[in-house]
Amino acid sequence: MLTEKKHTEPNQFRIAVIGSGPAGISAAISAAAIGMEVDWYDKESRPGGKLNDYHQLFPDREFADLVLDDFTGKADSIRIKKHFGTTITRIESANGQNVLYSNTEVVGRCDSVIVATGFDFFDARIKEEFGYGIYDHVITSPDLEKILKTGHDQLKKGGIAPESMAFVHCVGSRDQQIGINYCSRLCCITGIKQAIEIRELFPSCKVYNFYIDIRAFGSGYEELYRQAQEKYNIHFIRGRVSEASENQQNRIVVKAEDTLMARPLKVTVDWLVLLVGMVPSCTQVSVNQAQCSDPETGFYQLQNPFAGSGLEKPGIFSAGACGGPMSIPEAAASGRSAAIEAWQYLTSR
Amino acid sequence: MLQKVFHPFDPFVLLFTIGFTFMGIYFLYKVIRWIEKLSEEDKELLINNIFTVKTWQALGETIQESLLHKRIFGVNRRLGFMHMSLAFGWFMLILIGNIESIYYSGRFFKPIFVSVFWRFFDPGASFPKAVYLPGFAFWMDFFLLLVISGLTLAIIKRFRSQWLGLKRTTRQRPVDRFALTALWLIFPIRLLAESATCGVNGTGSFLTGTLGHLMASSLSLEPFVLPIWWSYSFVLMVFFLCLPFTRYAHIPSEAVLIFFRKYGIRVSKESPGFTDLSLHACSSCGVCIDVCQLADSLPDRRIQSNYFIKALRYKEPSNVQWDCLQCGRCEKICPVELEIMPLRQISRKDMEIGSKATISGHNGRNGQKHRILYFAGCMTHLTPSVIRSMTTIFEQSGSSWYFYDSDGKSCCGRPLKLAGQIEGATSVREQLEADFLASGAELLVTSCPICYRMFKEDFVLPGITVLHHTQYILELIEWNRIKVNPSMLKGAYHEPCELGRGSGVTSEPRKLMSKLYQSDATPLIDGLCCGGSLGGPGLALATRRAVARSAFNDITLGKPDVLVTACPLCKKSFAPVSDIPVLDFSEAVVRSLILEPTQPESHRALKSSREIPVTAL
Repeated sequence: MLTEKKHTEPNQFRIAVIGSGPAGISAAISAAAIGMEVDWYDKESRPGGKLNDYHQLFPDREFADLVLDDFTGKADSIRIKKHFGTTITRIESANGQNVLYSNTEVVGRCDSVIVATGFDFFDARIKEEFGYGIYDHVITSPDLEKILKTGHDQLKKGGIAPESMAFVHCVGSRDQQIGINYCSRLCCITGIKQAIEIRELFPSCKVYNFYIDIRAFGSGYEELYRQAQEKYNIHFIRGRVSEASENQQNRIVVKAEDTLMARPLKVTVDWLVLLVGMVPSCTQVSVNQAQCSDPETGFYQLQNPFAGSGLEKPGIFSAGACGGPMSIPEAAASGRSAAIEAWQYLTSR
Repeated sequence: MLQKVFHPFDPFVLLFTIGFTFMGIYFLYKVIRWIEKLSEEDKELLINNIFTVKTWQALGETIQESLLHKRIFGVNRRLGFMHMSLAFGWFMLILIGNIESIYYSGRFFKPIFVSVFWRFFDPGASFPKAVYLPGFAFWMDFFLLLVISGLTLAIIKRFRSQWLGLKRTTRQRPVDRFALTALWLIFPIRLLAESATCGVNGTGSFLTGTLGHLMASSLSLEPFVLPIWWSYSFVLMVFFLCLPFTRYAHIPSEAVLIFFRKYGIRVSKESPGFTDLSLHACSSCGVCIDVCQLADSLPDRRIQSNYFIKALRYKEPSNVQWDCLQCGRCEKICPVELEIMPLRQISRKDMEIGSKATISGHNGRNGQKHRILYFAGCMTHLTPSVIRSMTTIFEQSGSSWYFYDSDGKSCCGRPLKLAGQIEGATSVREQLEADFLASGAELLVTSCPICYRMFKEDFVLPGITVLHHTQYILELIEWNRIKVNPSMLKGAYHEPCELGRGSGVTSEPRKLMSKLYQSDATPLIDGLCCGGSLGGPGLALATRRAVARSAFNDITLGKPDVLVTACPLCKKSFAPVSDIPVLDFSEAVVRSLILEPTQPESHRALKSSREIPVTAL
């Protein structure tokens, strides 16, 4: 790829990284390590994205704060120009030059862009039958993560530990009824991890997980699933939940079907946790006025999924979960690889 | 010439006579079969009503619909003119031809071919022109011209349907195309035949006379006259032979249908004769294609009613009866007023599990009596916000109410009915009916238009007023039992198909809109299907989503801030495709409600004494 006759200095290239979650941080650090001039954007005023709101990370239960500190420490030790609090809405790309816009305002120019805008959690209110936003004791997995981080006493009612709790898998994932057919992959392991945490915090609390398949694909995930059953005695029930309602005592009545036993069942719990799937971010950028999303899933459509992470136009790359559901290690790796892709592109064009 | 007038015959008339006689006998046979296959009740209706004024009313309707096609005019004027000119024009040709032949032959009873080919037997030469014009010849030419103008439109429609205001025209079976070709040929050949005869004899009016004169002046016509009349008779024969087996069977069938319907006969699975008649009466005009919301999302599938009816009529192997949302738009627009939804439902009756429905209809009230029953319905249980809002409204209004299906175990039976499981639906209905009546209720309020329609149409509930919650809430507001403060937002109402078109509840939701929102962006279009209908178990979810998206775009053209609907299913269908809040009326009301503090018992008692008089509803 590299030609002999062209001598290139890394610092003659200016690259923009949009987003500062695990993928954006890794991309920015890697691009700066190569020696390129990095402009780093994020819509929030501090880096980290959703990592800021997590408590412990699966499967090894590291504290999210420590992982984030490690990332930001590396980013602070290297020369990266930060433009936090800036939302990039579109990129105009022509003749190898890219102009970044925040709505109508030009906020930067660069030779290459890495888009790492991440994902959003599925809006559980769309599955109204689960009662999110209607019943106080129906929450989502990110809500629970925040509660665990800021103080699990919020789960107690009048100082009394919850007696039972249920997790619903695949909310906004693998659900044709709402047009989301793909698997978000990481909700299963999130549900397993959170169920274990609840059992540790409230040993007398019964925990039910309603699932359609458990997809514990990553390293250490299956082991955690086995632990959850054998060590923590969490009840895994195969079957979709049909609806949830509230009884007189403000407890949640869950109606479901146990498809292994082939019978309907009803469980009353203190809290219902919806393991929400990952959906495309609402702050996706457009390239030359075009949305680069896949018509099926809505995530960014990669030009060649085998060879790299190129988007709509040459010189624009995607990294992390803006291209589809990804775990934190995967997103970080994808950020690093996007930085290499960009470097290869800039030196060979 | 005179001799010809009194003994008119030529061998060519035999072709027509064969075709016409065959059609007549076959059709007579069909009518006998239809009557034979009516249920006993329907046969009684037929006998009891045939010698009443209804027969005359039916005759009037037949003239309006089979000849003038008034209803098609209402839908599409160009299409109406096309159908009218063909049917009415042809009818007038037959009528005037007949009168002319009676007038000049002096005989009332004579073979049919005499009047059909009258111009051949009597070109008009033996009569003075002064008497002749503007008499029969003029009118015969006038109506022939009318028919030919309709024919021109029909040909245009085949190739450029959008010129007639149709996005799509029907796709036809080969035998239909064959009959169509024969039909198209009849009138140009007739024009040629009459012109040739008139040309030879120097008679005829503005059309046949002029054309005949032109033809006679350019070539020697004599040898052509007879062959042209032979071809005219031939195409008539072909058309009449094909007619009973093609869409053109609707010409006689529609008239029979109008009579039967006037006598009170309706589509039911007990009367296969009437079902078969209905299938024959479809003219395949195609207006049902463009109104179908699936025409855009499933352009390759022939699921619209005219294809569905064809599939049933010719017993084509097809599962087209499952691919329909039963929104009822085609039924509403159908110019023949066919009962398309019942036809769809009874065609679904063969579903295997239908015979084994064991669903329980009621939940048991523990024997207690209640004045107001609230029946949420199974779909409303999937939208708990509606139940919660209704609870607030009932509490605020101070009514003493009983939540009948609080455990979500009751079924109104309509989903079974829509799926063709008529027996299951009946058993569920009977259980629930008995329990409602035993409850002592005066008022039954439901949040679900599907249940509402079932309660209204199928249930027999003497002494119980059934209300959809939009109607009930409006009553509460008008009787000052609850107070609302209109919102500054702009709202748009999506009319659920089962509530508006299905049950005729159209004004109450709109009145409620005006009380809830200061600005109303409700579109003027006929209620669209949200795509979530229970009526289409055969449709893929992606298709339903496409229907929801396009309906949403049409409904929100006025850029509302909030979409209000009155059906839990619509709410659920629109939520994933909407970028604005989708609310049920109950939720919208609760948002605008002027809440009163917790009511003391005395106040509550006072309020209860002012219960809405059910009879005033």
